[in-house]
Amino acid sequence: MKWLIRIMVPIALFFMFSGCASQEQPEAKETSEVRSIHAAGAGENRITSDGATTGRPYVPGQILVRFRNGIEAKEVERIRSEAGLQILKVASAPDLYLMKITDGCEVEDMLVRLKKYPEIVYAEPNYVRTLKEN
Amino acid sequence: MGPSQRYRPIPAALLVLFLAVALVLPLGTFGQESKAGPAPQNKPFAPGELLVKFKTATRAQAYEFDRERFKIKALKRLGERGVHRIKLAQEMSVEEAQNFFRQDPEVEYAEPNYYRYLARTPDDPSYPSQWGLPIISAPAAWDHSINCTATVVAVIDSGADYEHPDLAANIWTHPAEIAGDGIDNDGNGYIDDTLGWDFIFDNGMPIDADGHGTHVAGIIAAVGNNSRGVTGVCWNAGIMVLRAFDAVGIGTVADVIEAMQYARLNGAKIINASYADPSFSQAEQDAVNALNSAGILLIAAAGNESVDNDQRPSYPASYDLPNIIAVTATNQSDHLAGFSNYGLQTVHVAAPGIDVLSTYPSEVDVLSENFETGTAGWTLPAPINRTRPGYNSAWSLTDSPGGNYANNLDVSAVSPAFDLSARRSTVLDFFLEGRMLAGDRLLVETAENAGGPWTSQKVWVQNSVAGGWQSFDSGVSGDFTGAWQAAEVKLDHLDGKSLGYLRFRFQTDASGTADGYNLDDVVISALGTGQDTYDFISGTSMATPHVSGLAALIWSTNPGLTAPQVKDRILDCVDRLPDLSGKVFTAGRVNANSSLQNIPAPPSRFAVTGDSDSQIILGWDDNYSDAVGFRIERREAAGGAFAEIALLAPGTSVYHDTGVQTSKTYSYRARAFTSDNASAYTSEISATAASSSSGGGGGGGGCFLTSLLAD
Repeated sequence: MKWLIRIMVPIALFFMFSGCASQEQPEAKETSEVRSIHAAGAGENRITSDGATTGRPYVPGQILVRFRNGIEAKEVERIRSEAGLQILKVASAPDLYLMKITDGCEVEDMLVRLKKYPEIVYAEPNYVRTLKEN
Repeated sequence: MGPSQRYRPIPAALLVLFLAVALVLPLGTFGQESKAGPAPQNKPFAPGELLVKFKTATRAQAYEFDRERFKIKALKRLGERGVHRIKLAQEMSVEEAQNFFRQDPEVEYAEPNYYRYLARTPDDPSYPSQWGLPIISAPAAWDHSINCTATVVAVIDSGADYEHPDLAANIWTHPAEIAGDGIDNDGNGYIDDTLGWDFIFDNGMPIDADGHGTHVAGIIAAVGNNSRGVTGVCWNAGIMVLRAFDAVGIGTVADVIEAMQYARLNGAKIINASYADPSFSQAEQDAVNALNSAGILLIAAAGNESVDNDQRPSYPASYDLPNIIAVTATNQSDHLAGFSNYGLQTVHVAAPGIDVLSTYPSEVDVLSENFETGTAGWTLPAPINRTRPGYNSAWSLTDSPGGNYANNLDVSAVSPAFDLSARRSTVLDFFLEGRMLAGDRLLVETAENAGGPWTSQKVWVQNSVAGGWQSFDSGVSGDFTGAWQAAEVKLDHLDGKSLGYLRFRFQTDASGTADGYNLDDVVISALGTGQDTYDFISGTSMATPHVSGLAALIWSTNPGLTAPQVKDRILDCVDRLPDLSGKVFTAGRVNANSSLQNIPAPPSRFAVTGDSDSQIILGWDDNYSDAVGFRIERREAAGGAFAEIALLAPGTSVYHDTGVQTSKTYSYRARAFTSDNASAYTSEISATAASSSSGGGGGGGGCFLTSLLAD
């Protein structure tokens, strides 16, 4: 029966977050409220079996941020605070951070928001990886 | 090397006997095939070899002297007791040779080389079901080496059942960390990481809540020859268990990257990545690149979507980095498995990946009730009771046996206690039929004590009418009339608890009633740990660890190899298969024996040892006792291609190149070769006749394909 949950979890990952604050106002706003969708049907509409038509799955509300080499901790702290992010962990020392979006902004919108920081080499969604048992 | 050096005179009487033996057995019989019929599938002895103990050293020398006449390819003394390992010419069977030597009174015994071979055939009782091992010629490879202990393989997966009796002995343990003291003894950033790490729950107990990681770990290195279960490609190895995938096989790039970093900093040489997705991650690519810089191989699944990875990449397998081996799956007939991704440019090799038997956590039912013969242990306050019919049976459970349920109801059917000690990935399954109106609902609640507190769980219910599944965060409601629907609830919050309770709670409001729900076939199942259990599963996930195990075997046998050299040995020594032509870079399925056994080690310390106006002298160390000889190649340092200038006999370790011009500079390289293989080249050295300079060193090794693929 585990196949059932195998199917459902990636779908669950796609549950929407509440809308992003205006991109012109990157101030952090502590609204970590998550609007979960009770009926799975709504979630299913966001992803098809081939995963292609609705984009690539990633963890909602999280991004990976690569800062430039040798960045100081206080700069990371400033950018994090400005952009409305919370550090979840250092995914790879010293400068790759897993961040949580704290103001309800969509991942795509946050990536756009971070483009203005020259201290950030790149930022990307925290993509899902899947074991390949057939 | 003349006979005068190697062949001392033997007494006349012995010589007469020797000749008599030769006459008694006409050599012509050696040319015939053995009459014993086809060899058994698991050959009890090494083909073409014989162990012979001579009573005197001179007797052995007599045979050595006349090798060609006696169809002996090579004769090598093992130790001081007069036992010789004889390699027979191909046209002579082991049985015939054995009969021949036994008739020589100067031979104490002659027997097939089966002691050594038997030691390399594992006694694990399920080994005969592991079709993938003989097909990649693992037994012959084991004949060469079973020792994988020098290489740590990190398995980034769903964890592993590190207490499994067929795995436990091969789990890597962190030497610098003290278990359970709450201190990061070695300062690596992880507290009590004695067995690896769980990157999902951030603790040092990376137990497997899915089963996949336990299976993968067993393919690489289930304990071999322990009279239990299965054997890995490696019989003994350090499996570093890194859990980055959850109970349903889902992980994230962030956790995978952190696991790669952990593997890199804690001594792994090989990483098994039996996962793949189409999303490109710069961060993941950077992490694999860091592995490359550290000389670590990443062996990655090509994916199970039957797509061409050249067109639609699957990461991490598809990153264009030299330390990645992308692996797809073949079946028992050496055909590409139907689900296998492929890619002429991006998928390197195939390995067995269908119906692979390996270690697997036991799945156990900790609670099971079909309501057919009663409701023992259940607490069923009225109006809850059994009713007819059930799901494919006579009885089920309902909130309202007599018709519609009542308004303002709040009543619960409570299960007997169940025990989830040492269980993981607990799941409740049941079937449901009927209807509850909006405002009325069925809650599925759990507790760790009979008296609560009770917590409501999210319920997934199949809707065969609308199609798909619905989830209910706070109670099931709605119309499921007419067909039984499967329902499932994750209960992993109870994993490991010694006491658990389940209740079905029917709650109704003040307005409106309906038939209510019927429930049946309630089962709580979980994965066990430390149980002696196994399972067959398929996927490029299963092909990948075959290659990881092989890489560990190669690396442990040849610790001096670099990651690209290990990769070359695997890629260059495949068995080419028609079905893989045009679909896989090497067009082949891995062959452990070819990768391991037949490759001579290259000469080492290859250097210029002297020179004059008319010659340059080269010297080296022979590293491969079975080599047929050495090839020396030269080019003018100014440019041009290497050309062979000498073919030298085994045992040679010096060469005088007299074909040089004064003051001209030349580059040299050398390699050892056997009848069917060649070593890697040494690194180049250069020298000028009359004034020397030198460099040099060893190289890797590879099947003959090396040069073809490198071009």
